[in-house]
Amino acid sequence: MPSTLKAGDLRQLLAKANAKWTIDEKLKDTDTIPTHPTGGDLTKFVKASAVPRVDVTPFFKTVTSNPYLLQRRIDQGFLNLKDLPIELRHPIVLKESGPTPLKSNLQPMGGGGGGSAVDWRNRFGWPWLTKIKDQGGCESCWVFSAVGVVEAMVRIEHTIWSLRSEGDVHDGLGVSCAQTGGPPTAFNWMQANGVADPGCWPYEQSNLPYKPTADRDGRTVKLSGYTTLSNVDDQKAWIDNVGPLSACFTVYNDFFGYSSGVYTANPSTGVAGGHCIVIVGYDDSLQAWLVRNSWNTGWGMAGYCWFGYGQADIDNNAKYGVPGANVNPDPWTKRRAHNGSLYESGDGQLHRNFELWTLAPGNAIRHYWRDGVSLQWSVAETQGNDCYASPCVTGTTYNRNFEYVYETTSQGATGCRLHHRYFDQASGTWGDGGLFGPQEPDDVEGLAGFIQGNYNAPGNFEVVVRTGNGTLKHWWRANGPGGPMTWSQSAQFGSDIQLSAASLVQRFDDGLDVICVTPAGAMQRYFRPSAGAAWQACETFARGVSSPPVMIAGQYGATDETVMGNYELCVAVDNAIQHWWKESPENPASTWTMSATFGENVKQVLGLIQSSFGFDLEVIALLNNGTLQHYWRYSSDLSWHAGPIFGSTVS
Amino acid sequence: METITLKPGQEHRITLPGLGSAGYRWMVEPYDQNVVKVEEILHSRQEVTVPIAGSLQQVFRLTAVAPGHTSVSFNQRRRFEPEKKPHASYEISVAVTV
Repeated sequence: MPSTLKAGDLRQLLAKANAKWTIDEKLKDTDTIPTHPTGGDLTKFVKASAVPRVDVTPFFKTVTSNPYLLQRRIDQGFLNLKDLPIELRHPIVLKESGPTPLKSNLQPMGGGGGGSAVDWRNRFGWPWLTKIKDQGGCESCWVFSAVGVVEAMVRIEHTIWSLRSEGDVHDGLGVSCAQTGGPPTAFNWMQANGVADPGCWPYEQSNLPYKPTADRDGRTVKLSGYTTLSNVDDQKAWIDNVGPLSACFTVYNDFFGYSSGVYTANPSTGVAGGHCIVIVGYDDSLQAWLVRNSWNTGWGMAGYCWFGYGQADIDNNAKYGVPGANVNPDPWTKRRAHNGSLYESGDGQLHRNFELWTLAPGNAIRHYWRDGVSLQWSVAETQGNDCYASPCVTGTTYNRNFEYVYETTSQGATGCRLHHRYFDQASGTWGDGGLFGPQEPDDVEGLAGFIQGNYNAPGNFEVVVRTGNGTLKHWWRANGPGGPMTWSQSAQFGSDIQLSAASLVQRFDDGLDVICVTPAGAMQRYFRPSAGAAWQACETFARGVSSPPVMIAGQYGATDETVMGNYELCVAVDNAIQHWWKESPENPASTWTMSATFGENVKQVLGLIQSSFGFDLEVIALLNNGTLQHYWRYSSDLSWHAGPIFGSTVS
Repeated sequence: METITLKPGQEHRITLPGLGSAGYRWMVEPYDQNVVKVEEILHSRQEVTVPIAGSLQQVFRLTAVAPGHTSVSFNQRRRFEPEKKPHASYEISVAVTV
């Protein structure tokens, strides 16, 4: 029976019950709540013969963010290089596979072949799939199948690891461990509600009531739809040009013992049931699909299987794909991939708009943005009158809000302080988080590093900034459920600090790293291993530095979702930009290496991100004349390029 | 533990909940085959409706062979994870008398 409950009614009921999450924010209060059946027909196989064939070529003619996949589509004639924005006209000679780039100055060997064979485990020289998972003793393969596709598509389209929680979907649907379903049920739910990370709500087999963290809305990958494919040729072309597919088949009893080679079903062993998996490749020479199972790594080839074409009904059933443009990663996924004044938001048709906030005349802050399709920069708005230096920006789990912290002009007796402001995505308006931080006699004298960290959910805000006496001060805001949301000083450390910077990064092990500049013109790392521990002075590197650096943790070196990527740092030295990197931040033996010097007339690096554009590094520099310039580095050949000069901090 | 008494040649069927979609199978542990014979009755593709992501029950036929007593243990496990404890277990005591 269709629901007649309106979204506004349900919102009120949820608020009254102090519910930990709300419903799909896309729904207006007057909209009827959509229903997603979890049983009935959706527990049956969807026969391919019952699904009309769709024209897949429009999907292949879309400009993907992934430069390797873009080249693959160009090579097949779906796109023409000359029709692309100039930043995307960078031909790549595709190869089949290669070693994962572990070093930030190592050019990927990769390619992508395609055509007769595709393997998304390692394609274009990069890994694209998270580690093999285990559904355990629940009949939840249909959820693992659908979530596996979404997870892979975020990695492929936005080139970032984004571990998703099958438990979020399974328990959000309210099904028990023993309940079956089909991938469309899981896709439909994700389309309405997104899919959160395991830290928000994990996958467990205990049938616990669904209680995700309070900030779920800000840590979900959004999904705007999926496509049902019935034709095998289309399915192979989709895997080649878009990504993996969700699929289901009949499990014969010989399947449990598969360990290598191409699986050919033996029906005489009897039927055990149905099963859903992710198809992550194919090989025509083997006449087989490459299947990713959810039975842990002890099964098959470390969790994978070559599954013969047409075997066990796999090609009699429809398969399901997610177009790359239909996934929109959350800010929590991307929290280490940006720092300083530049941020890649989920806004825009392809969810890859850039947002930039810089100082403007009158001590205001001006918001620029770059459209993710046309790649043109525009001014959004200018506001405020107390900004002394360009802010440090992040996107938070508070419903994907943009939030920034900046050093203020003198506030009278208290001197220069820190100011926190945020853009409320729900209302579309800016809010004032207030002044905080050090004050006279040791007020703020430097750029603030500002992040949302791992402690609590929503995660606490962490700020490190230089004060007038040459020390660094660490401030934090308690954000957890019921938290006071007030700022407090946590520590004072270091001495003779010349410059603080937008260089605060939290490691996977919760430790904090921050880079500052010494009076001798070197950069120095400070490290706090855990909450409550003392900050430690670590290595120094570089020389001649007289402007604040910007540091991120990128995807180079992140061989899978459990391994933290390299640190990437850009800093202006002698009117140019130096790029430095450090392998494995959590490895104390790793050292800093300078990989390139580029640009001219550069006064300061304002922002650095590793973007959705295929692991590219993107830099915004403040030039000596007050204008701004965009630089980027292609991941395919590690070449730096100068982009448009735009805007101004002085006019 | 359930106990059954059979006469030689008499059959008894045991139906156990399947978990094949998760990789688990009920497996019969060693027992006294002089007393009873245990066979799984396999599902033919043509005879069953396969649930899309669900598991069919496993059915075992016990046939009494000769007088005596034995117990038959069934463990539901993944054959590729032999070191792990069974997900579920079932044991039945079988007495065969004339």
